[in-house]
Amino acid sequence: MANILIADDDPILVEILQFRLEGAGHNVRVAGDGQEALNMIKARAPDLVVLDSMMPILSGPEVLTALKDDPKTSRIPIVMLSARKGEDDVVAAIKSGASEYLTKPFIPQELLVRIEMLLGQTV
Amino acid sequence: MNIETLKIVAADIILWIAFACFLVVALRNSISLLQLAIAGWVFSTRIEPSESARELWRRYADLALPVSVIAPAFNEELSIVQSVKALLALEHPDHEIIVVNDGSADSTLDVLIEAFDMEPADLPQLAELQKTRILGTYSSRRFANLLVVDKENGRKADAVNAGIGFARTPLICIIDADSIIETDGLLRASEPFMFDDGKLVAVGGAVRIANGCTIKGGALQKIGISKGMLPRFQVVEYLRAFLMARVAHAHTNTLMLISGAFGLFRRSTLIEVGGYRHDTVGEDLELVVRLHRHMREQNRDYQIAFVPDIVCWTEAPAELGGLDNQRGRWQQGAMETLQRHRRMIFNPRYGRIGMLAMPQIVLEDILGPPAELAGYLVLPAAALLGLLSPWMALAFFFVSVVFGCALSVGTLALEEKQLRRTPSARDLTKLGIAAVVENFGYRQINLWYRLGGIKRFFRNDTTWAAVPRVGLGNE
Amino acid sequence: MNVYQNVIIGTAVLATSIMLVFMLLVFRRYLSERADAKRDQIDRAITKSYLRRVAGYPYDNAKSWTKARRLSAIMRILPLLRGGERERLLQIVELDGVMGSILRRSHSLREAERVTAIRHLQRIRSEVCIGRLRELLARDPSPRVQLEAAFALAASESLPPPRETMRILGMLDRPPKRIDVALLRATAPHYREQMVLLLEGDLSRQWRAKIIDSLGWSGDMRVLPFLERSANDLDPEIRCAVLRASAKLNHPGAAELVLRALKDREDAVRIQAVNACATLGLKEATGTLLQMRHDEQLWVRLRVDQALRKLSTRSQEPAQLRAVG
Repeated sequence: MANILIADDDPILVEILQFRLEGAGHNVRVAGDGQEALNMIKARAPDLVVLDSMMPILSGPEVLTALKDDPKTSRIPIVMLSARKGEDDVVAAIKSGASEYLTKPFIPQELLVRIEMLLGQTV
Repeated sequence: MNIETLKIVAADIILWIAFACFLVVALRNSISLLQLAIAGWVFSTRIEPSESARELWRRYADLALPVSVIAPAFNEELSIVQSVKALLALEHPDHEIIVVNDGSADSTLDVLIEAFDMEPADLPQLAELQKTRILGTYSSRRFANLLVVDKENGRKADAVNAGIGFARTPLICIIDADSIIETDGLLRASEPFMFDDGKLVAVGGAVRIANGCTIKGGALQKIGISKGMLPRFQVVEYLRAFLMARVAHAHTNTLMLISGAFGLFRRSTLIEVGGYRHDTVGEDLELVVRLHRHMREQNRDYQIAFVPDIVCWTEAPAELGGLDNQRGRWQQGAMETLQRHRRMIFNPRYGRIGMLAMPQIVLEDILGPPAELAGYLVLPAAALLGLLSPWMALAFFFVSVVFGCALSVGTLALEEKQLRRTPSARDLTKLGIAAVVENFGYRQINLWYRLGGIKRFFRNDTTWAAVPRVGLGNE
Repeated sequence: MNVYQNVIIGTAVLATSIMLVFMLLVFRRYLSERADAKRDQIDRAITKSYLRRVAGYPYDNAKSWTKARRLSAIMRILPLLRGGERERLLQIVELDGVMGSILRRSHSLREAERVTAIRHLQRIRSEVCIGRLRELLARDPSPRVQLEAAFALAASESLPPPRETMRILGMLDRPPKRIDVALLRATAPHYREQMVLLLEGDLSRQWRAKIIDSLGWSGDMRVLPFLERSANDLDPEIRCAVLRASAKLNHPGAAELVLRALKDREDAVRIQAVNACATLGLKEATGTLLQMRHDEQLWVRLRVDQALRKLSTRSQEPAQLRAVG
């Protein structure tokens, strides 16, 4: 069981992910934009963050950089979600420290498998 | 002849001028109203391209006609790498980028060679349409679909023509160096070719103003509204031009202008007509008029289509000086085109292009601006002198200004109903205010600038200063 | 009242009514913005409710959830579910009457409405949906709607046999378009034999070429002998189609046919053969291709250069991909 934070502004996707992750026994918190996500992570660091790249106020990559710059949060594994297929984006995200990168549309099951793998590595 | 008869003759002349001005302005605006109605009809019955069609295009990507995007660049060392990256990232199964370095004085070429690992390529030019010399061609070791053509400095038309010569694909997309294409803009604009049985020769797309938007890495991130009034007026103006006029023209098969900021053409037709002309400041209008002329003179069945969704964002002049320059140039370009193709005007041989579209340009661009400006002076003066009924002067005000408000606001309503690309109710209100205010001052200033263009046309002036622009994203 | 007064009144009325419409639209936008946060909540609640129902847990079901909101949530959830979960959600969709409202919409008098219904039907893809889509394809009075139904069926791999599709969409009465080819290709995997039968009948050469092209997408090697037979057709367009289809089938059995076509007298055919060599990765063609760099036709030379580059980089490509992904 792990604490997972989902940052995405798409209510339906968030709900499905939350349902699935809670079903798998995890604790889930949800942030609707980048700033909120950053605040919540600073308040209490989760074990893993699912980060959408297109969000209001602060975008996914911006949150990612902020997390990696702070030694307190730099080791949290991060899964980036993106709607774009640009090769550069994947490279940029991995370079700036994302552990996984998924392009939408994806099947929630796939995300779940990757999350379990990441958590298995860090525990 | 005595003073009395002179007075009567003078009064008669003033009256005739007043009537003529009234008639021209009323006619011009009635046509616009008709266009708004047609556009409203087109939008309300429009079926947007479906996901399942997109899925088919993805599955059978080789059916999409390959496109070469031709991007002319002149002294763009600061932005060229970002722009090219954005172009390479455009969604399309098979597109190629041809950057034409138009004899830049700065290090545009070196920056490109460095950033994209370019090597001299010695590519063959399939058609030689340019007037200047080609200095070299380069291909990228990293991106198989990127070419750079280096040439002596010429005008934009010349740079684009040089690029057309190197294109090997059936479609050619012509853009401006500072055009920001929506990621799926190229794909959407090439969709009409999937439904085509060989008649389609060109497709235009809606262009909007990027001032006030957030631009990152050469791509649009967030739509916004500029703080300055001048760009806001132009947003309304562009909506009127693209959502109302072009949609109506395309629907009636009389599209006469594909903006130089974004246009898709069949390569073979472009080469047949010889590409852009070098000796006009209105090369984009002239090209489409020439396409019509060429196809009709050869009795070929053809079609020019328009995609009403926004495909491209472009920067508008933020200062009056730049606007003066731009509008003068448009005016001069229109007049040069009309002069060159005057045979087509009211010539039944050219069908609806000759009988309707060309005369409309005459009304819009030649008679319209002076008539409206003169009307503002003559009608109130004549009313004060008691030569005509004050009702007529008031009616002129209504027909020009109040009617103008109605049209601008109507286009905004159309945009909100159908496209909904304005970010918020607040921004929409701001644009609504701009749509009304533009009729008191901005519109008249534009008419004045157009007169400047008319003057330059008669002086045969071809020296045009570059439009001063504010950098995008710095506002 | 004189004519000018009429003009003034007319213009004023027009301007006022347009302004009113605009203000109404702004107001509507304002309201929808204010309801944004609430709508997100409702969307989440609806999603949660459906997920719980699918999993068999107790669930909330508020009356205030409109059919439109339910529908839009379902449309988003469906593609994210698989197998049994999907089946159960489809049942719930029917129980809730959402399915009924989509079907009613597909009978609307407005074209745009029917097209929206088609898009929903395609997403749901249950048997009822496919049935209704076929009906729309066959009987809708508007060609645009019929075409849209064809797209939806193609995307769900459920188009009727090619002869039917071609008749319904009136394909044979006009020159082929790219969309026609896309639709034919979509039917090819299911109706290979019917396509070969079609080719035995009398068809214009244009259409014959398109159908041969589509055979390449059947993914079935049994069409190869047929392609062999058409490889010597008198019509260059058909020879081109044979080469495209062979490249698509990506089977070594087509190599001989492709190599032979490199020497075709028509440059268009040679170009297709060169492309096919690149796609099939025919190293044995390298010698002939090197000679062809001096082909009399510029376009052939260009393609030869591209093909040679592709053949030489082919072995490195997978390594590059791995470095990126």
